[in-house]
Amino acid sequence: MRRVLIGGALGVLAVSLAACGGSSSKSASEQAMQRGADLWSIDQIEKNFHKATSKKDIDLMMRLWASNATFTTKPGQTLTGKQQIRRFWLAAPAFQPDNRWVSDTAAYKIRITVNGDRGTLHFECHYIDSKTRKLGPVTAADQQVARINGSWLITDMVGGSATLTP
Amino acid sequence: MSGGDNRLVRAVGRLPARVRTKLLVAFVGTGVLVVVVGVLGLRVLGESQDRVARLGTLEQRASAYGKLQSDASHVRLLLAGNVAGDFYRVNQPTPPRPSPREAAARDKAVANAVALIGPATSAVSLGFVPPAQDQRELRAIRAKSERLSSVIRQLIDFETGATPGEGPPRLRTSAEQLASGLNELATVLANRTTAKTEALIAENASSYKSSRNLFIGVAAGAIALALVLGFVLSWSLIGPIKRIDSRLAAIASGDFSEHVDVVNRDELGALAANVNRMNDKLRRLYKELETASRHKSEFLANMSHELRTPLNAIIGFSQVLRERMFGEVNEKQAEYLDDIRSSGNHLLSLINDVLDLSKVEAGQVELEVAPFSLRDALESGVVMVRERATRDGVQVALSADPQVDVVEGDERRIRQVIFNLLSNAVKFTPTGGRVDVASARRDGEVRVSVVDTGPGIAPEDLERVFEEFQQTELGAAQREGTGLGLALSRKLIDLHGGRIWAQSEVGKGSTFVFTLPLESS
Repeated sequence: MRRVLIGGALGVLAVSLAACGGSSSKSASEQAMQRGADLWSIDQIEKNFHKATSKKDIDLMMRLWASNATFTTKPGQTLTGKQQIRRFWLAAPAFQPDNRWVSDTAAYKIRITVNGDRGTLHFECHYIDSKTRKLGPVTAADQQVARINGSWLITDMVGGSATLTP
Repeated sequence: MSGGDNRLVRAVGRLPARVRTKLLVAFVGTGVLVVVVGVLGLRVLGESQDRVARLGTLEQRASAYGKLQSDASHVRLLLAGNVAGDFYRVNQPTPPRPSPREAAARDKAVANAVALIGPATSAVSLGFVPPAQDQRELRAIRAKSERLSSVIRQLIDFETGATPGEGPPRLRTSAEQLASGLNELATVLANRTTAKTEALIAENASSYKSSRNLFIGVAAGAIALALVLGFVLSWSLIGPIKRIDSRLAAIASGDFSEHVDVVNRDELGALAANVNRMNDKLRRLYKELETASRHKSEFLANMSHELRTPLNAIIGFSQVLRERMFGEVNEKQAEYLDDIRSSGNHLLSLINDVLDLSKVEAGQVELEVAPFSLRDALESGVVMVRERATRDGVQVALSADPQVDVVEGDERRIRQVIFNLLSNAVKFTPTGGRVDVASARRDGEVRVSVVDTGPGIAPEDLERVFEEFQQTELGAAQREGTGLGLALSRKLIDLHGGRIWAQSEVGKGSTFVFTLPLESS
């Protein structure tokens, strides 16, 4: 009995000390690695955005948005939620079947910031008519993104202007 | 739970320190453990307090940057109404085109909103001194807001006609891009602060868990160590005390064969060494006593034989001559022969009493305890003294309680006591007197009393008559008896677990009483 008591007490001490050992915060290298992974993930939003508009893949487009995302599409109008945003894109020229636009971007103009589970994404969209090889609309997107359930998604977008200058 | 043989216990016992020092060390050690637990608790509380303070700072910062972000977003959305680029044109084939007045009003609203952003980045407006890592964004916000203000002013001049013309589209695009950049910078500040807040909250939760486990672990460890310390120290003291106690009990029962094993180098070790020394000394003394007792027994046996043998010859031959078995003796010779026999009997009686007394004192009298009839013993005693009593004109009467008959004891010794008391009573009662013998049951014992109408005994002699070779003046004057009868009677009654005493007044006779425990009657 005596040995059990002594052994048990020492065991509790050892386990407790082991449990409290170590810190929950990440090391600098772990943080850098995580940042790199987040930047890459946010960049994938931009790539898939252009892929979706080029291939007219509405489902791919909608997978990029958070369920309660907002989208300012015109003066005084901001859409809320995936349903409204989906309706917008289905009516947008980029998704019309007789439209042969390929959506492109100047990669060096892409701007991404990330802090924790939130970030920003800015890119330009250059629509090129694949039939006539002529440049169509040139627009820009200002987006706020967030990591939700492990995936980076668009939470807010404001359409904007872009210039064909370097 | 015996800890006496535990190695740790014995090791603590072997420490060359006094008991008081060991106890003090144990108490101080326990106190230190309590202090450690207390200090740990205070440290945990301090860290928690520090995190709460940092959280407060971050919340203040998050609120200020959130407002900044809200203002920048407001500017961005306002400018989206006057967008110059293709976004709304491509998604709305016929977007409504505002009039110059409407456009100017919207731009004035934008200018008013932008004018608030620059000053809002100062430490006074924020309400805190921004950390170094935020300074870059804040400087950029100030620069962009100034440029945006300049661009908007130019647009307003065109729209209000202050400057002729419509204004180049690049101005509106430039305004949009500046607003976009402003919004992005403010969002970065807000996101960074939010991320830090969330990280701090997570750190707080993790630290709480770690601290709680550490605190519990240390507290449990402290309790366990205190228990172990207490157990080890107490058994290092209790163990030796118990062993010494056992050895002393064994010594008390006559066992001197072993030594007590105590390894302590404190007061208990010294005590154990003294007990062992005492054990050895007692063993030697006991052996000497045994030897002395054996010698005494042998002496008594030899003396008993050596003394009685010639006395028997003296008494026997004087008897034979007195009875004229070897011829006539004259009156004088007869008288001398009577004296020889009387003296011989007296000497024999004295020797018997002395030897009996010696045996009792040497513890060599073993009672042969068995049930016997007290009534018969009393009657027998009366018969033995009746002849002398009749000759001296003394009446002897017996009144035994019919409920008191069988008692437990050594019958021969009890008869000896009865005969001694009766013969004394008859001896010291004058002619015409009376001796009454009675037995009764009282308070769980049998009480036998011998009452005479003799001269009585003075109070100062009532206890003295029970001492060896002590007689009253009358007894000494009569030159009868050895002065050992009552002493021997007391010792024999004491061996039976009873009592014997005398009650008397000078001139009013005497009462001698003895009791026997009533085992069964």
